[in-house]
Parts: sequence; structure tokens; C-alpha cells
Amino acid sequence: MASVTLTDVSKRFGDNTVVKNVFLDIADGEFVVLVGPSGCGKSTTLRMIAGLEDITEGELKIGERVVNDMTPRDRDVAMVFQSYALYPHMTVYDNISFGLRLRKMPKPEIDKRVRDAAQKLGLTELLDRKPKAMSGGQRQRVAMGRAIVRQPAVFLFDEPLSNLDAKLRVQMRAEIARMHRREGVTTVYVTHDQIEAMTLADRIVVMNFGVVQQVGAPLELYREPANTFVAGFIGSPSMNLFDVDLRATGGEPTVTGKGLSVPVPERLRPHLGDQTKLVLGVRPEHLSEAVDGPHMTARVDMLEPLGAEVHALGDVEGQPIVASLEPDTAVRVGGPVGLRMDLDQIHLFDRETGLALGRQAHRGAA
Amino acid sequence: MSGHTSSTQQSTAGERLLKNLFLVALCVMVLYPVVWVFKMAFTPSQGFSMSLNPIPENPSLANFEYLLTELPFFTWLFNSVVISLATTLVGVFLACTSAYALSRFRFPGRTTAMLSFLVTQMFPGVLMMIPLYLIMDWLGLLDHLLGLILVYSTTAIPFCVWMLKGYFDTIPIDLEEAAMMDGASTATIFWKVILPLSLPAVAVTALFSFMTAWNEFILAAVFMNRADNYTLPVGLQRLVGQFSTDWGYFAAGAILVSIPVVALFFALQKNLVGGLTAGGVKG
Ligand SMILES: Nc1ncnc2c1ncn2[C@@H]1O[C@H](COP(=O)(O)OP(=O)(O)O)[C@@H](O)[C@H]1O
Ligand SMILES: [Mg+2]
Repeated sequence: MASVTLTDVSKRFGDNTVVKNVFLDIADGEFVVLVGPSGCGKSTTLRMIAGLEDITEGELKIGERVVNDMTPRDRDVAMVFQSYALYPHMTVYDNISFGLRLRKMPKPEIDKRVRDAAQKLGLTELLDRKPKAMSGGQRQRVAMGRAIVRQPAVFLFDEPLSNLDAKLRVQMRAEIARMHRREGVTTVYVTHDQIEAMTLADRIVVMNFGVVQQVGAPLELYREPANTFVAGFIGSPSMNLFDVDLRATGGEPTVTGKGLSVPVPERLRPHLGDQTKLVLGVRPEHLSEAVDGPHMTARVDMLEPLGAEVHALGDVEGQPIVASLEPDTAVRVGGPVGLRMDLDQIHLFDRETGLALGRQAHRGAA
Repeated sequence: MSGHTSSTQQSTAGERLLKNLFLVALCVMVLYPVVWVFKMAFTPSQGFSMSLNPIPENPSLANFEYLLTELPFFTWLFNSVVISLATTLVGVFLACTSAYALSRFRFPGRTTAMLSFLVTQMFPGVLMMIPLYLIMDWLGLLDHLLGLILVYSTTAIPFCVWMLKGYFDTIPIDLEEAAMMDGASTATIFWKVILPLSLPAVAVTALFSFMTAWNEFILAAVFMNRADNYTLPVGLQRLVGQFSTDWGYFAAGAILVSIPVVALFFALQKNLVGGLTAGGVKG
């Protein structure tokens, strides 16, 4: 087992910088998830750790060793691919044992490890099958088995669940979490699915355009997004964001936008600076129906009843909004709804930099 | 994409009858000469019978007996087998390795190499005869089996390289990366992952190389002067004399020569179908 340390790591393909100045300390045994929209450089970052992609700039350490110029074979890492990448001409047993056989491990030890892994993953009955004759979920397990038997210092996962159907995905997600708890191996996991990120991670790294936006525990990212990108990316449905202007009305600082006006809560006041062009963020779950004294009035054009709650989608003077309402709400499609924000839960961002008030940009971010 | 597509449009019984008659006629046209060769092979006289009846009048194995006992048939067979197998081995090995490099590595001259392989295929082989003769002479390989092996391997390689490169291109790069993570070197990846997955394409190229060498006549006739260096096609051609032709022996020889090729076809049939449809249908 080992820690993984990226120091000012960048990756360029020709003139195109796809990973920019990433600093990241991953502790021994930690489960870190890289999350971000498609094309933001997650896979490239992971592949640099794996050794499948050269590092253009910066330093990568696994444990105490600088591994920049080391082949994948010498890095002691195992990777699970999105496509599983099982060897089609080999049985499950041979797929799982391939890496061990290449390392000339004694046969009995190989056999023990393969059977051990197969048992943990429920593959014992399938050891003689070829990948072609297996379901997606089973193939996924084989891919995991192949990584486990190696007993590597670091596990790398690149969107391992994205080819599974929704139900299986939830099941395998739990399996991966269990595996990590059991083996305690340092894990770097790439996904574009923020729910996977939230449920699996000790810490989440949010990336966009090759730049790390924020690193933190799942709830930390949810509660204190560092910028508008993280605010919009983490949480489902996404946080509502409104352009607002800061004014002092009668000594009390207030933010005012189209169709809404709220006082700046006490806790945010120390962070107010000269900047008057701000963005107000409020999560759908922190909006509630208000009979009198609403902060704003939305016109509803869709209702999504989920049982425990109803998502009302609509707009406030042309600005889209989603609110999570009580299941027995009387609101109807086409009708208006008065909404109150939970002022303890609102966020203010600098409109120019996108940063949350009082926040500095993440180290390495431009 | 693959598989049997049943006719969706309604065709009347009359149309179907016409279609079938047409196909039957085509089959007869293709098969009749073959049947005739059989007839001549099993007819003891060396004449060129003009009767349309495909059944030999006094069937006998005399022609085969003559070939196998009176002519150095087994020497020629040995030469052909050695040359064809060696051509196949050399050709397929070189084609596999170069096709892999062309498929997976990016290096200066890659496109040029691919194109020059293609260009060599555009000229009829006979054009190469004189330069090849000079080169063989220079190398002292005229009238040597090795000379033909070299010539045949190099003529088969361009096709084999294109065929194999096309196949390698369809093998997902993920597999190689997974093997790399498992600790495999490039050579291990090639031998243990890529080649086993490419058996259908290798089978096609192997058969192609084998047949190129097995059936080739012109170069063999020009390069080989001593009768005990003849390949089968050259030896048999000598039966077609200047003044008379021993058609019976010739037909019997033709049948004997085809047997290994037909056998190979059947042995590799399953792989051949897979190899030829590869790329269209990914497994
Ligand atoms: N081999 C490559 N050559 C050129 N550009 C690449 C290569 N691999 C990835 N990219 C580019 O790098 C960016 C990040 O890709 P990737 O790391 O795969 O994104 P993600 O995994 O976050 O979806 C993309 O814009 C992609 O087009
Ligand atoms: Mg990716």
C-alpha cells in the first residue's frame, strides 16, 4: 500500500493542455474519486498515475518513489477499465491469473489467490468460462478480480460501472465500497457520476477543463462548494444560481436580482468585499413553499413527483429554477408558487471569478 | 449485420423458378470443366475426348499410377511442400510483426511503408520477373529452393500485412493496456494477447501465402532448371509437350496438386469465415 502524490502535474497533447497543474496528496488507504464532466481530463490524470500516459510536467510519487519514468509494470498499480478489457481468448481463471503468471509467482500461490478472489467476488462457479459467455456484471467482477489478486499498492478505476444498467450499478458500487473497506488499498476512482462520487469517496476531486476545482470530503463539497462550477456539479438536482447585485438598503446588505431580493445572512457578511456583482446559490432542497412573505415567485412548468418529495421545475422571470417541495403540495403545472429560501443555506459567489465569497482559488487553478 | 436474411419481398413461384434455373445453369458452367478433368484423369487413353458425356468409359487409375511411379512426382511434391511451408512461415511471421508495428506504433515512414506495399500490388507479377531473375542470379540462388522461398515470401507479404493490419486495428487498445498493467512487455503482449486473438486473420494470410507458393508457375519455371528442383506445377506443365499433350496424366496431376489446397481450405474453413468477415462484425 502506498500514498500517491501529484505535484504540479500537467499533461499536454501537442498544444492542447488537458491537465493543468494538478496538486494532490492521496493518503495511504484513502479512496479518492476524480469527478467532472466528460473531457475534463479525469482519465488522463488516472492514466498518468497508471503509467499509460507520459507526464508532461510535474512530479508523481507512489509511496516514496518518484515514478514519472517508470513503466506501469514497475509501479505496482492495478487498473480496472471502463470496457473491462478482459482477454477474450482466456478463461476467467487465466484472465485473473495473467498478471501473476507473468510475474512468475509459484503455481500454488497463484491458485490460492485466484480462488480467494473468485470466492470474494462470487466467481468460483465461472472460473472456466470465457468472457464472451458472461453478463456485464460478471465481466465487471472478473476485471476487479484481476486487479485484486495482484495485491497492488494502488487501485485505479476508470468509470468501471458506466456500462452496467442502473440496478447493477448500485449493487457493484456497494461491492466496490465493501472491497475497499476490506482490503484498505489506496484507490483512485474516476467517474462522471456525482452520485457515485458522493457515495464512494473519502475525498472527491472535482475537475473542469483540466483544472482541479475543489478537493474535499463529499459533504464538504455539498455544503461549501468553492465555486459556481462545483456548486452546480455536486448535488442533484443542481443548485439554483441567480445573478444578483449587492446593495446596502438601510444599512443592511441585501442582494437583489430579477424577481428576488434577500438580506445577506450574518455569517456571509464578513466576506463581502468591494465586489457588487454576485451570484446567489440555493439548493432545491433549501427552497420551500411560502404562503406569505416569499422571497420570490416561480412559474411552474413541470412537476416530478418522486414519492418522498416533488421536484417543481419552472422559472423566476426567465431564470430557470428547481425546487424540492412537500409531496402533498397544492402547486399545479402552469400555476405560480411562492418560494422561501433557507437563508442559513444560501451561497454567494463572485460573479467574475466564480469563487465563493471568502474563498481562494484552489492551488494550481489558474 | 451477419446471419441469414430471409427474403422479405414476395416473389412469385415463376420468378423463383427462373432464378433457380439461372443459378443451376451457372453451377453447371462452373463445375463442368472440373468434372471433365476428373473424366480425363480416370480415362486411360491420353486423347482429348470430345464426347460430352462426363462419365469415363473405362475408368482406371492408370494415369495416377504412371505419375506416381514413372515420374519424379514425389521429388516435385517434396519441393512444393518445402517451398510452400517455408514461404508461409516466413511470410506470416514477417507480416504479423510488421503489421503489428504499422497498426500500433507511430513512426516516421509509416504511411510511406503502407503505401509502397499497396503500390507493389498494382503491378502484375510478371513485370518483376527480370529484376528478380537478376537479383537471384546475383545472390547465386537460381535453381535453389531458397530462392523461390524468398521471392514468394516477399510477394505474399504486402497483402498479408494489409490484411493483418486491418485486423489488428480492430483489437481494442484497452486489451494491450490491461496487459501492460498486468506487467506484460510489448513482446508478451504480441505473443500472448494479440496473436491468439488474431488467429482467423493469421489463418487467412497463411492460406494465401501457401497458395501463392503452391500454385505459382511462371517464376518457378524460369528460376528452376534442373528437373529435380521443379515444383509440382512446373513438373506437370512439362507433360503438356510441344507436339503432343498427355492430357490424362496432366488431369490426374492437376487433381493431385489440388488435394492439399482443398484439404487446407476445409481445415481452416471456420477461421477463414471469421477472418474474412472480421472488422465488419466485432465479436
Ligand atoms: N491521446 C490523446 N491525444 C489527444 N488528445 C487527447 C488524447 N487523450 C485525451 N485527449 C483529450 O484530452 C481531454 C481529456 O480527456 P480525458 O482525460 O479522456 O477526459 P475524461 O476522462 O475526463 O472524459 C479531451 O479533450 C480529449 O479529447
Ligand atoms: Mg474518461
